[in-house]
Amino acid sequence: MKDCNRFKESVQSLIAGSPRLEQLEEFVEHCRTCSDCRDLFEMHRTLTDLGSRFDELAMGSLDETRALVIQEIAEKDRHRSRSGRMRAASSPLILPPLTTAALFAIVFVLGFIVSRFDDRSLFKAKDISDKAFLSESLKNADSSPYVFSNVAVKYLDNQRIFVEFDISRRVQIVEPTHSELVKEILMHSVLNPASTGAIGHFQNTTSAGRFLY
Amino acid sequence: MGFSDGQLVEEALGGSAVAFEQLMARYERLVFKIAFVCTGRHDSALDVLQNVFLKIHRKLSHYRIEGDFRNWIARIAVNESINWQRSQKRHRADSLDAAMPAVSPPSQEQSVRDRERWELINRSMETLKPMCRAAIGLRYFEGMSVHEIAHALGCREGTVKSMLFRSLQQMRLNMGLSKEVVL
Repeated sequence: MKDCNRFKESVQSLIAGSPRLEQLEEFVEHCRTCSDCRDLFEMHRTLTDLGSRFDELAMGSLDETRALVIQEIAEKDRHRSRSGRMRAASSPLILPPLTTAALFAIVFVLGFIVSRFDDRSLFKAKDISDKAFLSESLKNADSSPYVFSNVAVKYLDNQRIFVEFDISRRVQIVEPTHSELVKEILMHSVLNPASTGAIGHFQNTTSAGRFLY
Repeated sequence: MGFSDGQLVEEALGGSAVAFEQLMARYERLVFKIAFVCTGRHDSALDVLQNVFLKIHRKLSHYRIEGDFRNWIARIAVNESINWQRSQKRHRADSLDAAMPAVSPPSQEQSVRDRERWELINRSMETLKPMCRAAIGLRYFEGMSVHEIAHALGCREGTVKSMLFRSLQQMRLNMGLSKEVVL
């Protein structure tokens, strides 16, 4: 091409479908003497012509292909819903072994954490302990408003005692050894040994009949 | 007045096969043209057309209603055509027989002339990159603007202009070689 680069912008605009008339006139004039640009222009015209007549020349009916697509989609949907129903009927939930193990581990760890921090039973016991402390009849287990059973006790150290017992439900607490609640329980245990399970381990009494624990 | 693309998409997402069929009827010619220009074969274009609409059905939930559905489909069609062309590259040499069946030729003479022209154009496009073929298809066979082509191909308008220009230059060179071979 001689000075064809000069018309590059014109040709680009022409191809893009937005030619400027004055540029186009100049380019067409140039094409009279430049076979390369003439061929390029001819290519553009051929493509434009074939493109505008594409439907007539090559399209044909697409009904068959459309029907195939719709049929395939319908079959997939049917298969999906059928396999979904079968899966739901035969095995509600099938998990890979690794996932199952991981879920078990997570549940175990969460349960452990919750049990460590769950203070519902402690709160309940504290509540009971407060009530027991305020009770005038602590020294007389028979008159206690609380009925204990299944009492189990274990000394943790000199300052703390582990007590497990049932009131309305089984409660686990860690109480100071001088807790009024523990005192009441011990009193009850000694006076009603048949209702307790581990009385022998902590039955430290004095001759005065006072409970030392 | 017919349903908008967005309404049909919503219906199709709700499980309406009729709505999806309407969408397909609306855009199958666009997809076919892109596929035809990219693959150079009528039968291959039908295969691509089928794949594209199955893919569109699977991906319909990804389409944003406020977007341009035509451009979204064009983009999927271009990608699918390019993938198909890459995978089938080795079979391209013997493609002319099925390239352009005369559907309703105006006359025998006209049909032969059109067929020859198409064969020349098709040959001249063989060495073009898939994206360039797609750009040619969108510009000349679908009549898209440079702005729309840029959106469909995921590139800038300047890139599209330059791509079209270079493609035509390459096709001109290829066609010159073809003519020489024929002569």
